[in-house]
Amino acid sequence: MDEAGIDKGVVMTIVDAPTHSAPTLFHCGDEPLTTPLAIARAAEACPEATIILGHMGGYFHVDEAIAVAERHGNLLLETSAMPYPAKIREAVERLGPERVLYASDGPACSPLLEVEKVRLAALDPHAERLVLGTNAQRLLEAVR
Amino acid sequence: MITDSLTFVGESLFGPRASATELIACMDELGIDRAVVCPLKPVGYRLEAANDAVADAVQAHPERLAGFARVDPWLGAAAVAELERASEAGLRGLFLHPWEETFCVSAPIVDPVVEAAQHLGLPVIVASGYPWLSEGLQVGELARRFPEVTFVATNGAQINISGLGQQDAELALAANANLLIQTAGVYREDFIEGVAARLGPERVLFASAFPYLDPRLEIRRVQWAPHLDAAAKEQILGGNAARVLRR
Repeated sequence: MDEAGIDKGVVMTIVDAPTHSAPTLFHCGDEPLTTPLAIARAAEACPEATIILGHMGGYFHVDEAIAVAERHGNLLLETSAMPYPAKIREAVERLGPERVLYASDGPACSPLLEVEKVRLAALDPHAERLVLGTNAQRLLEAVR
Repeated sequence: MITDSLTFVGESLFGPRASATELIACMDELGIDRAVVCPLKPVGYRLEAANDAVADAVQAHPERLAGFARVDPWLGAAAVAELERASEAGLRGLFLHPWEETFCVSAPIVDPVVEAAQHLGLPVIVASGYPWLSEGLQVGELARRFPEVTFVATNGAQINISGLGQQDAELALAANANLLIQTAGVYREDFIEGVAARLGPERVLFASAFPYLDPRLEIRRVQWAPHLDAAAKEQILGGNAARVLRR
């Protein structure tokens, strides 16, 4: 850790990822070290990196995840496990449909249910296609 | 027969709001026959008025709704008196929300209202999984002190997207036969299935937590669970609630 509390090793890993056009996925839930505000520091320190907030904040930090993603354009939100379809819709409305990614967290969570959760968000068909697949495809195909 | 073992009506200090009419419409849409209904924490902080509103909702829909009374254990004798009053008004259980009323569910201040619930023969729903206040083992500790009372822990007795609360929830369930869990918002579906397999499907109740959570999603957690057989789903969706509610 340096004097700002930043772990250089972690930062170097995140910084290195964009040289391969690879995104970095963090578990983003409700404990210290995993909250949106904690990961937002990495997004700020590594503006070239694409960083995904897994579970988009969990149970109690979803509003915070959407808020930090509004501040940092290199943050994306991933939908798995968190239980609020309405928050997927809100995230798409506030961030744009390109910055929200469907995920199942399988096999722990049921992919059937996780897809249904995105459908219950009642996105327009274009946005739903992006969230359910096109966004992830774009990210993965860019990796070198 | 499908029973949603946790819903709320009223206008919450914290934002959510729902009327009994909206609740019944939601139940009709999803084929839910009955629901346990609890008060949201009212804007005016007075739980008595919120309990009255629940009693009114039950009176308007006696075949569809079973009401639970919400009290604040910090109020001591007044909380006991309110539970007794609400029970006389037709409410059929006690609902405790350690997070919103800010008390630790394993602390001695909770005992008088639970003793009153035991005396009245009422089951107790505990809003569970909240850090420091109603973690799985804390709810289990309360259940240990009152083995004659049936306790129902919301959220699988764990709200933790890392899954870190699951072991404590299962330890609490294994140690206390009088403790059951609800399915609303549970991470993860295999946790629900695991509890049903290891401890019995009679320990699990379907709940939506309407309007906090989306009942269209929550009912699927049970209906679509790949490793629950039809008999277990029937118990979880309604049979267990009938046993707890004694009707």
